[in-house]
Amino acid sequence: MTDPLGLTFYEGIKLNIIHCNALKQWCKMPTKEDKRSRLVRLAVLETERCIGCQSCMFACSRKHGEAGLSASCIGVRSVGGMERGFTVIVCKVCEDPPCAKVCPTQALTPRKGGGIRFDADKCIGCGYCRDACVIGAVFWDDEINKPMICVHCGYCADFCPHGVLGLQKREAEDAE
Amino acid sequence: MLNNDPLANVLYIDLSKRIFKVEKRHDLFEKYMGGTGVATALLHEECPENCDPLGPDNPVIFAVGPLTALFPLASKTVAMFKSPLTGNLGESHCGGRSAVAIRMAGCGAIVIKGASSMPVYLSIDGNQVYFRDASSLWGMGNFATGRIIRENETGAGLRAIMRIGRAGENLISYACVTSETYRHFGRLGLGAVFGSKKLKALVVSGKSSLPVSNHKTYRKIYDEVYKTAVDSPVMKKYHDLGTAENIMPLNDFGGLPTRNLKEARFEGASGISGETFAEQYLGRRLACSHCPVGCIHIAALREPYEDEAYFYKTSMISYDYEPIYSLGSMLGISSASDFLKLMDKVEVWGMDAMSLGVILAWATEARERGLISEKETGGAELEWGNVKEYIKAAGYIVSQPNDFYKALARGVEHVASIYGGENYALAFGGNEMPGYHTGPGAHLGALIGARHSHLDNGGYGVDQKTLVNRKMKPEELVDTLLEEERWRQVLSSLVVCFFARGIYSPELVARLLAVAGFDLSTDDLQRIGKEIHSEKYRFKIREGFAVDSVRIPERISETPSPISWLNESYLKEALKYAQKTISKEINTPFL
Repeated sequence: MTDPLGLTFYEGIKLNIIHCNALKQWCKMPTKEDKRSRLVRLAVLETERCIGCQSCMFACSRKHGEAGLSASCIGVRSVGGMERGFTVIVCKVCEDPPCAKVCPTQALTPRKGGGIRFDADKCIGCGYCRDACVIGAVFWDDEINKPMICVHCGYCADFCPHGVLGLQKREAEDAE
Repeated sequence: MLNNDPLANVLYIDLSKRIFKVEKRHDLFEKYMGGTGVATALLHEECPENCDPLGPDNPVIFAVGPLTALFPLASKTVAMFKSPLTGNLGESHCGGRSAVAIRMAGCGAIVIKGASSMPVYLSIDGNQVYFRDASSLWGMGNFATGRIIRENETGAGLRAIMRIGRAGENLISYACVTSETYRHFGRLGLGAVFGSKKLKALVVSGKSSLPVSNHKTYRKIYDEVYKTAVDSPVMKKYHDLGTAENIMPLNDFGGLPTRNLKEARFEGASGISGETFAEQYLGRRLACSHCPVGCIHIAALREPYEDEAYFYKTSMISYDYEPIYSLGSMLGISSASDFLKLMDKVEVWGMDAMSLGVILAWATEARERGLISEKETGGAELEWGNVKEYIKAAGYIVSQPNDFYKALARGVEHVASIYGGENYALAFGGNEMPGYHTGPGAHLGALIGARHSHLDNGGYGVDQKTLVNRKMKPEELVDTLLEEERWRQVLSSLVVCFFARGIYSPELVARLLAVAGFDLSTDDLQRIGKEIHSEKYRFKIREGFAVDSVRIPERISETPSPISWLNESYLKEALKYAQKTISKEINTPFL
C-alpha cells in the first residue's frame, strides 16, 4: 500500500494507535518474513502528533531488560519549550553510517542492507560514535558507559499512543 | 522495597550554607511508600513548630514514589511545606517531567532548607547539586526564566525546570511554582516559599535504571496497565476535550460558581466551554512524562498588533477546568479569548489561578457593594467581565502599590478579615474555593480536606453521583469523604495522578507494588492510607487547626445549589462529627 507521499509503511501495532485513522488506511502489519529479512526500519511517521509522553523511551529500556531510562535508544525532547512540539530522535539507518566509521575497535559495524551491528564486548566506551552521529541517535548508557544502538525491532511503536512511530518497509533492492 | 532501589535516597540541600548530602531513608519509604506519605513524615521531622512559613526554617520537600518511571501515570511530584496562605499544612502536586526527572536523578525525595542571601537556582545533575547565581533571572517571568535555564543546562528531554515568577519573588501568599511552562505546584503558595528562600528555580535531570523484582512479570503487568490507560473510557474525557469538558455539564447541573457565587449558572458558559476552546483555540495537546493520556490542552491565541497591519503575536496558553471557572465564570468573563489573555499574564507572574480568580471576584463584589472605593482599587475599575481591568488589578497584586493590594496578596480570608465582606469571601480553611457548587459534598470535602482542595476527597463527585438521588446524614457523608481521602493518600504516596484513580484499584496497586518489591495486601494499603491521613492531621492540629471551628462562608448556603437541602446547620453538624472522628483517629496508635 502506498501513502500520499509515496512511501510504504507498516503499522507498529493497531491496537494502541487510538487516533490515527488516516494512517491506518494505508498501513498493514509487517510479516514475519519482512522482519526476518530486516526489511523494516523504525521511522518517525508524524512528529507533530507527538504529545511528549515518552512511553516509547520507557518501552525501549524495558525491551533491553531495564526499568527506567538508562537503556533507551530513542529520545523525545521539546523543540525549545513544549509549546512548540517535540523532536523524536531515532536511528535512521544510514547507508554509510558515520558511527561505524569512527569506531576504533570495530564494535560498530555496518550491517548488510543498512544499519548497525553492535558488539558490546569489543566496545571500549570512547564515545566517538556518539559525537559522530549528527542527529544524536547514538544514545548512551551511563551506567555501563556504552552506546545504545537501535535494532529497529519496533517495540517502542507498540507503545506510541498516537501513531508517531511505526515500522517502515525499506525497498528490497536497498537491503541487498 | 528493593534494597538497591535509589528511591530510598533523600537529597538534603541547605541554601544558607550551600551544602548538600544524601541519606538513605529506607525506614520512611518502607513505611509510607513515597509521595505524600514520605513527605508528611519529612515535614514532621524538618518543620519546627510554629515556624514562619516565609522564614528560612520552613522546609520545601519534594517526593516521588516507587511506581514512578516504572509504570504509566505515576507521574506526579508531591510538594510539602508550611503554607504562607493558610499558615498550616501546605501540599501541592505537579506533573510535567518533574516526577520522572527526580526519580531518574536517583532520589525519592528532596528536602530544601535555609535561605540564600542572593538569588540562586539549583541544578541537580549526576550526583551533584550546583548553586547557580540567579541574580540576572530575578524579576523575570515564568516563560523567560524557563527559556534561559533550558539553554544553560544539559539534559534536554530528561529534565524538569521548576521556577517562580514575580509573584513568588514578591511573596504573594498564593504564588505557584511552574514546571515545564504549563504544569504547576499551584495551590497553597509554594512559589512564595521559593521566593522567601531567594530560590528562583530548581532544575533536575537524570537517566538511570531501576530494579524490579521480576522482569517478566514487570513487562506483563506493564502491558496491561498501558492498554487500560490508553483504551479505558474513564480516561477518554481527559484526552479529548480535557478537564474543560466539565464547564457545560456543571453549568447545566447548576453547580458552576458564577460572579463570586452570586449565581451557580453562567449565561455565558458556552463561550468558555471545553467545546469552544477545542474548536476555536486548541493548538496542541501534551502529556506529562510517562503518561500516554495527554490531558494538557494548549490554546493558540492569535492577536494582531495594533500599530502595524498584518502583524500578529501568537501565544500558547494552557487551559483547564479550574482556571476557566476561577478566571472565567467567577469573574463573569464569557469570552474564551478574554480568559486566555488573563491566563497568559497569570502564567507569566506565576500565581495560583484558582486563588487569584476567587480573590478578584470578592474584590469586584466588595466594590459593587461599596465596601471598598476607588481609593483602594487605584487605577483598576473592577467590574464583572472587564478583562482589561482584571489584568490591571492582577498586576497590582504583584507589585502591591497600596495596603489594599498588599492585603489581596495574602488571600481572600485575610483581606476580608480587614475590610469585611466575610460572608462572601469564598475560602475554606484559608484556601480559596474550587469550582464546584454542586452541594454539601463539595463544600464539606473542601472544609475537612487536609489541604482544603477539591481533590482531597472528590466531594463534588458524591454530590453528582449520590446526593442528587438520596439524602445522606452528615455522619454518613463525612465517613464517605474521609474514606475516599484516606485511599487518595495511597495514590498520592505512589504519586499516581488522580485522573487515573479509576484504573488504579487497590488490587492493581498491590500487584504493581510487588514488582517494586513491596509486599503489601490491599488491607495493608488501606491501613497505610489511614495512617498518612492521620499524620497530616496531626501536623494540622499541631499548627493550630480545628476542623469544627473552620469558617463557613454564608454565601455557599445562600446561593441555591443542585442539592436543595444544603444548609449551614447541616455543615456545622458534619464538621462536629468530623472533628470527633479525626481526633479519635489520630489518638489511636497504629500497629
